[in-house]
Parts: sequence; structure tokens; C-alpha cells
Amino acid sequence: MSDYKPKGVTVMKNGFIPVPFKLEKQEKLLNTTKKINHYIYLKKHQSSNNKDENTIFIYNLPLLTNFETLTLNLNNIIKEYKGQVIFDNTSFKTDEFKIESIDLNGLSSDYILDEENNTINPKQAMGGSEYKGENRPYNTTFLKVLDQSSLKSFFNCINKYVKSLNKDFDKHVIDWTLHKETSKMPTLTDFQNFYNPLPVQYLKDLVLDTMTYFQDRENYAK
Amino acid sequence: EDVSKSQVDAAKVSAKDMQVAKETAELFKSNIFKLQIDELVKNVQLPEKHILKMEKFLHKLYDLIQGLPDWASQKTLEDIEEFFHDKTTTIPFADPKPVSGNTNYKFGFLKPQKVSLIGSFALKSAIYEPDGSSIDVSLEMPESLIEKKDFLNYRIIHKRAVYIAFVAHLMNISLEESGLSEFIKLNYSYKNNDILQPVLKISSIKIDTTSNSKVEKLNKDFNFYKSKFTINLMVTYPENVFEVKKLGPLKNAIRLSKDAAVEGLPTSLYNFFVLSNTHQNHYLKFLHRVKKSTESFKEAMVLARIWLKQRGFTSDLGSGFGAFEFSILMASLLNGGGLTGNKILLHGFSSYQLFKTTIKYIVDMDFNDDGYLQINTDLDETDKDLMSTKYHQGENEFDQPTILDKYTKINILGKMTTQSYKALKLHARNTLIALNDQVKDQFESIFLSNLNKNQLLKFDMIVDVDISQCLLTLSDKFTPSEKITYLSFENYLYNYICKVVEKSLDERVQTFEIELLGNNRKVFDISKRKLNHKNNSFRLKLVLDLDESEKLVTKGPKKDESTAKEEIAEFKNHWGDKASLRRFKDGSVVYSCVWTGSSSNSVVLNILEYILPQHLGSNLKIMNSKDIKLVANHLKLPNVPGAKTQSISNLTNFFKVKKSFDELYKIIFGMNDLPLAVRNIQPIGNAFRYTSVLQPVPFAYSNPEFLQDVILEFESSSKWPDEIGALEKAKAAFMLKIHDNLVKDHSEYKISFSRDESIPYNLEVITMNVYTPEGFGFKFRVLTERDEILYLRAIDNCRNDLKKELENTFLKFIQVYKNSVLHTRVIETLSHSYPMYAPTCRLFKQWLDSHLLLTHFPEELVELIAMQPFVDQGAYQQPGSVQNGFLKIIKFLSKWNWLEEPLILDLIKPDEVDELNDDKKSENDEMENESEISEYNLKKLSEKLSISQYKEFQTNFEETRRSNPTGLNFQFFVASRVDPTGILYSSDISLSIATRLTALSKIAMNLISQHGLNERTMKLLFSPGLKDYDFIINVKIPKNFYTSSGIMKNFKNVDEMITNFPDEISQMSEKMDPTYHLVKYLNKKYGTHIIFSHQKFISLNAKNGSGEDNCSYNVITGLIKPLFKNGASTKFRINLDADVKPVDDVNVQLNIAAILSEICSFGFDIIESVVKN
Repeated sequence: MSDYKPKGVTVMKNGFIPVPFKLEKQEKLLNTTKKINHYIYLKKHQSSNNKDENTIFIYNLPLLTNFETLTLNLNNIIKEYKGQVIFDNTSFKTDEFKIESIDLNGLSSDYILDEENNTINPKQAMGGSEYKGENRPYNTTFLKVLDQSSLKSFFNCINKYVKSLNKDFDKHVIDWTLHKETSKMPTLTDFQNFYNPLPVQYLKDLVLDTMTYFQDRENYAK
Repeated sequence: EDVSKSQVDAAKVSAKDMQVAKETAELFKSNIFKLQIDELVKNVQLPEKHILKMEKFLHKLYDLIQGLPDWASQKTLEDIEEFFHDKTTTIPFADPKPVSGNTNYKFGFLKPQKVSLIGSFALKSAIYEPDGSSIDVSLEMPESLIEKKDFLNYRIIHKRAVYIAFVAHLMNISLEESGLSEFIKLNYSYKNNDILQPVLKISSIKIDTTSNSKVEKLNKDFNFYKSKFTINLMVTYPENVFEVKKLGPLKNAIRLSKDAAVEGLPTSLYNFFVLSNTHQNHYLKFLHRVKKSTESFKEAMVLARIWLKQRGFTSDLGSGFGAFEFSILMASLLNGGGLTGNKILLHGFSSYQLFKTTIKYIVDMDFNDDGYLQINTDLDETDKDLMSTKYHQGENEFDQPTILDKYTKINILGKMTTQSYKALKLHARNTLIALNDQVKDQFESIFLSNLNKNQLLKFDMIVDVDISQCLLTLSDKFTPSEKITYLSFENYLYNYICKVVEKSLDERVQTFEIELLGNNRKVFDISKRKLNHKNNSFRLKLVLDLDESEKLVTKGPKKDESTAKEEIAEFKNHWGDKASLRRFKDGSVVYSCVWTGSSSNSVVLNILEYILPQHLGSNLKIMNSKDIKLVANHLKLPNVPGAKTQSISNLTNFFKVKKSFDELYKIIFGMNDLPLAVRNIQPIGNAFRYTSVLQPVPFAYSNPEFLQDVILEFESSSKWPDEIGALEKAKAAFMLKIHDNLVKDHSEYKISFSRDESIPYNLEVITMNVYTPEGFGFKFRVLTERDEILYLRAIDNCRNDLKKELENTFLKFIQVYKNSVLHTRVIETLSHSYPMYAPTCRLFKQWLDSHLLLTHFPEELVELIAMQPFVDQGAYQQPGSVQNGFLKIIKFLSKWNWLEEPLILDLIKPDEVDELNDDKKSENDEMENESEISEYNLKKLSEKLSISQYKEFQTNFEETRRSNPTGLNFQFFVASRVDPTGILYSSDISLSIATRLTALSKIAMNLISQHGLNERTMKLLFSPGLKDYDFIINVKIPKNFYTSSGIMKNFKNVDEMITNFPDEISQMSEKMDPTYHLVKYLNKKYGTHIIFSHQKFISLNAKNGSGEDNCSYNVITGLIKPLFKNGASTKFRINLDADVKPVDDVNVQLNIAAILSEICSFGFDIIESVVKN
């Protein structure tokens, strides 16, 4: 299989910039000799909400990418092109295993509270065709930078990086590296630990907390 | 009293209503049947051009025969031998051949006094047969060549042999002269395997175009090779040439031996052959007359012919019930046949009624042990009042299946054996059940499925036996009396083996067939005297009776004064050393044989392995004893003491789980300090219905199905929280209370809690896992009356685009919490009724798992599909072996066009299927005994699917399919009482997986049909086609899960066993397969575009061999879904949810290399390699 290197695609028609990273060579991967690149797609986030300004919309992060790994790799580009970007980790969130994609609990409840602690109907809060809340597609995330100039610098570097690849892809493409301190791949033991039971005391506390919180909300609603 | 009276009245009304409903249904059904029959009859018609071609040739043939020159009469055997001395034609004398000097009767050849077409072609009831059919032409020997006494001692047989040799010789000359010999060929053959009657077979071969214009013209006019017809020239005798009385079944007509023991012994088969040859024309006339008087008779004959052919019944010796015999029986029943000579069939009957009633008659009457039918085919009989066709009950002095023609003294069933008669009745019984099925259309199973195509489906066990080293011993047994009874060694051998098997297996088999192997050739050259074949081996094909087959004791006569000495001697003689005296519980002392069953050998095989050498010769060899066990041996033995001696259908290990559960059940039920009392504790795990792939073994917690699911319900309460998260925690609180109680009072139990992922998006479910002192584990989930409401509320509240997802969640909830109880109960009950169901189902699951498909299907769906051949037997019997059941499931899957056909299962026990007796009752006694029967019937019918239910299922299917015509969202519609919607268990399967299952079944069926079952095909059958996937992930774990899964390694009796749980429950996870969790996360991450498959039972992976390795291997495969298949590109959108790389500034393709690279690092220490195909 040949790893396709698109010549000249520095930006997609819909405004996303495909940013390649070279993945570490995997000895166990057979029948694939070519160097393998991963593409992250970046775009400035368009939003009327002030909270969302200076935000980058990202599609397709590599597996198990946390804030540290992402910024480590982006900083490698920024360093290369001498940019100045400060990342803000407050809004960064991924759910690549789609664990929180549907809030079944909220949808079944009459006792959800809004930010002002008012009980609201789940239809209002979570769904219905009139629902206007967050609806972020899978495999995407937001990354906030400190300010306007950080954002500008960021895209500046990215664009330079992407353009440089057109001249000599192999020379300029940057390696994707995992942030060693905060991130590690699961081991046999990790996979087997999924079978471990819940500690009884933990469960008791959890039950108590959940029930107390539920009763509070129920009383509040009454 | 009033109440009971009104109940009776109500029952009466229902009975009448039911009868009306039944008749309406019957009428409706026969109308549909009529249409189907019309279609079928049209399809099997002989092509008109073939008929014309044959008629043309037959005219030519007639001319040729008329042109044969007379030779002479009154010639001695020496003259004849002299004549044929230098000819290529040989006289096909039967054994014992006449000897010159000792043969004082005269031979000769004069032109036939009558040449006529006989058989089905003459009756125009022949059907098109792909392998070709034959036309029978009778050449009647001139009376002047026959003497009154010629019926004796083979004289007529030998005269006829000389006659046919002349025909062959002279015909050859005239074919030569006319130029026809270029493409017309002559051979000898035996009609219906009657070795006394060689016939001259005329066939036609294809020739290349010649320059000879005469031959060219002849070829064009008379070459009939395309029609695949052959013509049999049969020499017959004039009617009444012999005194028929002297050839009755009990008369002796062979008096060659001086042996006193042989003197006067009936020679019924010989008599039959001689007589039937004098009456060919008579029966033709008889059938012809019936055909004229009964409009639908011809069509009924065609139906019968098809029915017989699909079941392998022929007029051949040994089978003895072909289209001719069926037609004669049917014709006779138009004249009577009842106990008082009352008519069974009426001339106005439709072909459906004629056929069905005849089938019913075959089922109801006994022509073998307890009666016979006497018919009268006298064409001149004018006295209508004389009831001459009458069933005689309670006596059959002929000692064989009998339909005796009073007029010709022929036993129409003269070529049948007790066994073939049994088989006939069995098939007739099945057909009658099918014909009586008011609900399901059974036309296909009655007329369209060919049972003979695959013997492995028709029979439960097929045993090939080599007797080449025993032939000398066996031929010693072929004494003069056997010679005159059976006429040939081959026929004797066949009957002898039949008798040994019959006596030895008795009730253990429903029926069996014996096929002498190496007899494929049916024709032989006219230069040869006879067809020579050596019977080096035979094939024994068994249909088992599961109520009897596994019984460990064969009981013989009682040891007391009332038992005849001969009976005891016979028993001892038959069983040899095995016969011993045993005292039974009732105090009786009985001669018996005791057998041992085992996991690999059924009792029946054990008996055969013992008894066949006893009677056929000690050098006998069962050739395929390994292959017979192959399929069953594929099931892993549980690592428990005595596993090897447990028969395959033994459920002991499952009962132990039940027992352990019952103990726990009592304890929990007895807890009276719970906030709400326990109302129900329902086990729903698959061990409770005997379908877990691995048998339950104590402490074998690596078995992925070790924890058996249980549903716990409390008294109803309005206080359950109104929110899923809180509700699940409230349930957990109840279980924590049970936990505390158990810890306090029953420290022999271990308990743990875990999160449960069985309901998508419900992350709050907690299960309580209880490990019992007996070594089993149960996983408790709590069901409340609140759950359903909350799930439905969530669907109502959610965004439209999520509705489908949440509906799926709801279905899953219904599946796991609610339907599971009914499903388990139904499957468990049926498992007891169909003893082979459980092991077959387990093997089927194992097959699916070996092809990495098991995890894609809810196990309920798998179990329902596996039920198909059991509850819907069609033309077959209930599977009597794992092999048979397994192949039938695969066969069903290979044929199932799920896009257009629903699978509707009537989940009832076999005795309820058998409504024959009810039918008899309701037809005969309904009027007299109305109320009693109606109640009886109502109860039964309420269990069976009604027409309206069936129709409702069908409508459901049609509606569901209409909204999903391509099968993208659901494929398998499996409706039954358990799930009327039909899609509860199949709404979440991907189309490519469903298609793969069908494709695999087709491949498997082809493999087996072509190469049979042997070690090589079994291996192929269970090997996954890894090349079909886009990539493969090889998993290697440095641990052995074999023993801890409870599987016995090969070649050992019992391996080291685990005898307790670890002190800390968490230590168990070290012995759990991590593949499951790896795949779970791969699915969550990449599942939108890739289908991952893996083997659920890591220990069963072929790479792990017999579990001796310290490592375990598993495999995960990936299949890219159509959007990105084969490097396809698509427009870039942010909701693609896929790892893609750009192709240009608009399109992207799946970045599969990057995905694989990621997977490598994700499972870095358990992945051995990732291979892209």
C-alpha cells in the first residue's frame, strides 16, 4: 500500500487545513512498509458566542491524544516556524470512545437543574428539535488559545508548515510524539483490570451520594 | 353444577367452531395446493419433442422386432450352446446355470406373439427426470415355447434367458443391416434388480457427423440420445400360461435340492418374479381402466412418483415400493380397502385427495405385522357387491409386507423388506403431518426437497463397513434353503445384514437402510453372462429413535418358567458373551446386555462395533469410525471427572449449576430484612437452557460465560427514583444490602460488584456477582417496574437524530431484562424434548465463533436459528445426532433468502407436532364425543401457532421489510411466540455480517456435499477465512486460559483442576481474556467505518491447539464498511467520524495505515502483529 501524499492540498475547500504528522514506525505492522502519516484537520472556530472566540476547531486527533500531547506536537510546529502561542486547557475535552455521547440519565429525568438551579424539562435541556445546545460531532474537539495574537500566530505557523511540505514532505514532516508523563498506551494488565470489581465501600459512597443528590433535587422540585 | 354445564356448553360451541374453522382452512389450503400441484405437474412434464422422437423410434423398433426371423423350437440346451458358441452374444443365464446333459426341457426362439408398450410411458404418467427415464416394451414369448411345468426349477427363467439372447443377437444383426448400429447400442441389464430377469437395454449415443448420407438421415430421424431415454426390452409370458395358484407366496417352486430341510420351503420371491412377469400387461390394463374412470388418477400417479423419487423409494428389490406399487395401491383403494371392504378413495377425488388419503392409509394400516391388504384386479369381475378389496386386520400369515392380489396371486409388495416398509411408513407419517399442517405451507417439504441428495441430512449416522475379509464365512451361511429364499448371494447378504442390525438395534432406530457398495453399474455387455460385482463393503444408514438409542441396557427374555427355552437360546445366541442375567428394580430377572456410553461413541455405535463382527465375521472393519465421531468430538469436554463417559446429550454439568443456584435462591428469598421483599429471582443465563458453548465446570472463571445472568425483582413500589441514574443506584443499594447479609450469614459465598455495559448508553447499571461455594457464579441485575417507563421517556425526550439509537437501547433492555426470562424457559423446555438440540446448538455457536461471527449475533438469535431443524423438520426426521442437526442448520442458512422470507418458528414439543392421533380421533369420533375432544384439542391448539398468528407474523415481516427493502438495518426476521416482532434480536446486525453468514453456510454445505465429512473437511469447516478481511490483528497473551476455562485437554482423563476461587476476587482478572476489552475500545473508536470481529472463546482458537502452550492466541479482524472500502474516497465532512487523509481539496479516504499503526501501539504488549491483506 502506498501512503498517499497529496501535493498542493494546503487547505480543504471547506476551510480545514490538513496537518500531517509522521507516526512512529510500528514493527508489528506487516505488509505496510511506507512511512505513515496522520492528518489533523484544523480550522478557526466560528461562533457568535464570546466564550468561543480564539478557539480552534479540530477534527481527527490521533488515538489517546490529551491536551499535553496535542500541544506538545503543535508546539513543535510553532517552534519550527518561530511562532508565539499560549494554549488554554480549560475547554479541551475529548470523548473518542463516545462514552458521554448520549446522556440517558438526563433524558429520563424530570429533575435536571440548569445553571441557575432551576428544574428544567429534559426536552428543554437535552433534546427536541428546538434544542440549540452543544452538538459536537464525534472525532472533533476544541482547543482554545490565549488571545487573538496567539491564534494568528498559530495559523501562521501551521500554514507555513503545510506549505513547506509541498517542497519536501519527508524532510519537513514532524514526528507525532506522545507526552510521556501524562499519557501512556494501555497494557495487558490495564485491559484485564477492566474485569476488576468495584470496591464495595466506593460503591456504597457512590450510592449514598447519588441518592442524596437525587433526593435534594426531587425535594427542590416539589 | 350449572357452572360445569355451561362450561361444557361453551366447550361444545368451541368444538364446532373449531371444526368449521378447520374445514375452511383445509379447503383454502387444498386450493392453494391445487395451484401448486398444477405448477409442479406442468414442470415435470416430458418435453413434447422428446415424446415425438421416442414414438418415432418405437415405431421403428416395432418394425425391427416384427422382422426378426424365427429360429426354431424344441431345441436342446446343447443345440443352443452350439449356436451361441461363436457369437458375441452370451446367454444371460441366472444362477444356478443349466447344465448340459442334465437339462431335458426344450428351448427355442420364435418371433414374439405380442409386442406392447408397458409401464409409465404407456400410461402417460412418466415424468421428466434429469438423469433420463426408461420406456418398457414387453415381448411376449409365444406360448408354444412354454410348457405348463416350466414355472418350476428355473426352467422358464432359463428359457427366457435364451429367448432374450436371441433377441439381442438378432436385433444386433438387424441394427447392423439397417445402419442404426452406428448410434443405437444394446446392453443387458436387470429390471428392478431382479437378477432372474435380464432385459435388453437400448440406448443411443451421440455421433459425429458422417459423410455417409444414409447414416446422417438415420441419425437425424432416430437418434434419441438428447432425450436421455433408454428402452428396456423385457421378455414376458402369456397370461395364464401357468396355474397361478401354484405360485402363491407360500408355495414352493424350486425343488432342486435333495435336502429335506429345504423341501416344501416357500419360494415367495421366486414365485413373485415368475408371476409378475406374466402379468405386466394385465396391470397395465388395470391401471388404464382406473385412469379412465377416475379423472385425477393420472395426476395423482405423477404426484406419487415425485414423492417417492424425492425419498429414494423405487420398485427395486429391497426397496420394493415405487410408482407402480403406489399406483396399484391407490387404484385398489378406489374399490375398497377398508375393514369391511368400504371404499377408501372415491372416483371424484382430486389428485390432492387421492394422494393424501393414500398416504394416510399407508400410515394407518399395517401390511406387515398386523394385517395385510387383499386386492382384486380381476378386470372381468362384474359382481359389484362382492367386496374383494379388503383390509385383513390381525393376521399376516405371509410373514412379510403384503398386498395380495387375489386374482393374480401376486404380492404387490413382494420386493419389500420389513425395513423398507418401516421407512415407507415413517416417511408417509411425516408427509401426513405436513399435509395436515394448517398453518405453514409444506408443499416444498412434501414434493420439492430431495432427501436423497445429501445422505448426511437424511440419516443421523452412516457407518461404512468393510467385509472383504469375511466373505468366505458369509458364503458358508448361504445354504440351499437361503439360496431358494433369496435367490442370490447379494440379496441374501443384504437381508442377513438387515436382520442382524434389526435385531440388535431394535427400538433404538426408527429406520435404517443398507447399501451394498460397489454396485453402481446397472448394465453389462451382451457378451457377458451376468453382472459381476464383489460386495466388499456395505453402508449402514441409521435414523435414530432418541427415546431409545442411548439406553444402556438391551433387555431380553425373562428368566422364569413362562419363557420358552428357544427364546432364551436365541437371545444368547444372538448376543454371545454380552448376554447376562440382571435383576431389575421390579424384582424380575432378565437376560440383558449392558452397554457403556461415552462422549465420543453413542451406545448404538458401541453395539454395532460389538455385534457386527459377531455375526458377519471377526475380520470385519468399520471403515469410518473416526469420521462418525468427528463432529461430536469437536465439542470440548468439560474438565470434570467422568466427562469421557458422559454421553453427548448428558446435561449433568448443567444441572449442577442449577442446583447451586437453587441454594442461593433459597438464601436470598429467605432474607426478610430487605426494604422490599423479593418477588422473583429468574435465571436467564445460557447454562440454564444448556446452550453455553463450554459446559459449566466449577471454578472455571476464565470461561467468558462463567457468570450466569439472573434477573432479580422486588415487590412493586411507587418509590423507585424517577431518573435512570438514581434508579440504578437504588437497585445497587438493594444489592448491597443482600451483599451485607450474605457476608454476615453466609461467608462461604463471595460477592463482588461491577459495572455493566449490556445496555448501550446506560453507564449506571451495577451488577452483583455471587460466587457460590460449589464453584459457580451468578450475575444479578435488578428489574423494576420503573425501568421501562424511564427508557421510553428518554426516547420521547431526545433529539430526533438520536431516537434510533435510543430505541435500540430500549430493545436491548427488553432483550436482557424482560424477554430473556421467556426465552430461557422456552429453550430449556424444548431442550428436554429434543435431546440433540443442546449439543447441536453449542456446536453451532462454536462454529460461528470459529468464524469470528458469534459476537455479532445476540445468542438468543443464534439459539432460535438453531431450533429451526428441530421444530420445522420438513420432510426429515428430528435430528438424531449432533452431526445431523448441525448440518441441517447450516443447510437451512445456506438456503435462507432472508430478504424475502421470514423465519417463523412454532416453538412446540414434538408430541404436539404429532397430531395424527388427534386427527384420527376428530374424524371418527368427533360427533359422538364432542366435548371431551374439544377440550383436549383446545388445550393443544392453544399451544400451537394458529393461522392468524402465523399470518400476523408474516404481515409483520412484510411491513418491516417494506420500510427496509435492502436489508440494511435488519436482515433476519425470526418470529415466534417468544418474539412476535421478529426483530428483537436481529435489529442490530450489520448487513455484511449477515451476508457473510449466508456465504459461509453455502461454502460449508458445498464442501460437505462434495467431499463428505472427514478430518480434512472438518478442519476446513471450522477454519476462519482470514484472507477475506481487510486486516488481521494477531493477539498473543502470555497466559494459558485452558484449564481455567474448564476445558479438558486432549489425551488425558482429568487435568489439574481449579478447586477454589482466589481469595481476592480481583485476582480473577488475571485469568480473563483481554481481547474483549481491546475490541470493545477499537469498536468505540473506529466502529463507524470498520467492523471488528474476534473469537469470543480464546481457548477454542485453532492456534491454541489442545491448550499445551503457555501462551494463548486470538485474532481480531477488520472489515472496512462500504463508504471507504478498497480505498474509496468521499467528500470531507466533519461528521464523518473517521481517520481520513486528503485525496484532493474536497475528497478524503480512510487513512487505514494510520489506523493500523495506532492499533499497534494501543495494544502494544498483547498484539503480536497487524497484517494488512
